[in-house]
Amino acid sequence: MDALKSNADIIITGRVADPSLFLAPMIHEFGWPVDDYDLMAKGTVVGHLLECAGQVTGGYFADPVKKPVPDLDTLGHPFADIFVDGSAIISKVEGTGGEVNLATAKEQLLYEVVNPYSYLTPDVSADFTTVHLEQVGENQVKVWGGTGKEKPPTLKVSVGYQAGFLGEGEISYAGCNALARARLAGEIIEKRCKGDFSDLRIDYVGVSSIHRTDFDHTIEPYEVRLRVAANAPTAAKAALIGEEVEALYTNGPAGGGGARKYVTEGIGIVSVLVDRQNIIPKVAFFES
Amino acid sequence: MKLYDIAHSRAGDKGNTSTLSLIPFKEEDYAFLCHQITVERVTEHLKNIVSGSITRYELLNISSLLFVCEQALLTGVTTSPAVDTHGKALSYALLEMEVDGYLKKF
Repeated sequence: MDALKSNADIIITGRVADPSLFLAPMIHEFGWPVDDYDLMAKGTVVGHLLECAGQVTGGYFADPVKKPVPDLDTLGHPFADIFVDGSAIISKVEGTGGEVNLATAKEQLLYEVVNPYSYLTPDVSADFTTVHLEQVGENQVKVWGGTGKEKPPTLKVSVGYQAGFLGEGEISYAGCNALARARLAGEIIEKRCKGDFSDLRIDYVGVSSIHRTDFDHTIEPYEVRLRVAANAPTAAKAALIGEEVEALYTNGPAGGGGARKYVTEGIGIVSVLVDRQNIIPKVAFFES
Repeated sequence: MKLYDIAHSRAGDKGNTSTLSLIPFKEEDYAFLCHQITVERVTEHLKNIVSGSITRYELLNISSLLFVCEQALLTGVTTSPAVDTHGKALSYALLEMEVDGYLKKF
């Protein structure tokens, strides 16, 4: 809030709750008391609908058969016209792709909600079950309702830790008996690796990548990509996964192609709660 | 008939928990979903994916259900060996569920 009061052109924060990025300007503009938890909840609902790029304008929504959305390649991100009472109309810029309707708004309202009676942010405990949505125009959804209780006494901290390495290997089979050959390869890998990796995964993937065309639509599936993955404490051990899969070129089923291998360092995240009294935000100003 | 035919869904993740909304295309089908899509049936349908408990929430104002599924993501997005570490595709796993007794109204 201090940053907003300073009339800075650009404000950069550390990791903050997504809806809070939208709530702060509302508080600043309307002079909402931060302990009016109903208003904090209403603003949080609007922020939650606006977060995650195009998720309320047809992104992470479009299904060409059941819920088609036009022009996803020029998808417009949303904006909201917000009123002093905390209600808002969600929309997008005219001429952009996508769509704002009750269905997109419902999906986004419930997105990542673990308890709709108590959606916790650093600002409020918001009750989403009291929210109302109404389509009021083309690509215009009105949102109102939403009630709130006191913000939690704790703040959530995401802590990163070294989580070993993920090893992956892939190889593809296409045409006659593709799935049978891929399963044979999977069995070989399982026998050779299962004892050494506690979370070994053997997955089967694919449609039309290997022949760069397709010949026979009656073979089902026409192609299969075997994907093997496992976590390991060291990069060297994780690399064994990709090496085992690559060895299938010479030592595995016929026609195996396109082998790839990957090792990725793992940074695990756990969430912990800390007393908010211990967290003192600071603001620094820079001018150019 | 599958849930896909009468409803849509979006998946979210928090730690090792997957949140799956279930929203009927027609609001008048909400009562049918409340009656038929029970925690027991969803638990059985998702038994190869979800290891923990499933909680169902009803949101009457928006005629929607929410299923919160614990131990669903092989430890969570940062350490899962799965292809879909967030479980973002699990919405369509839920929609694969067979439904009985649905009568289309004309």
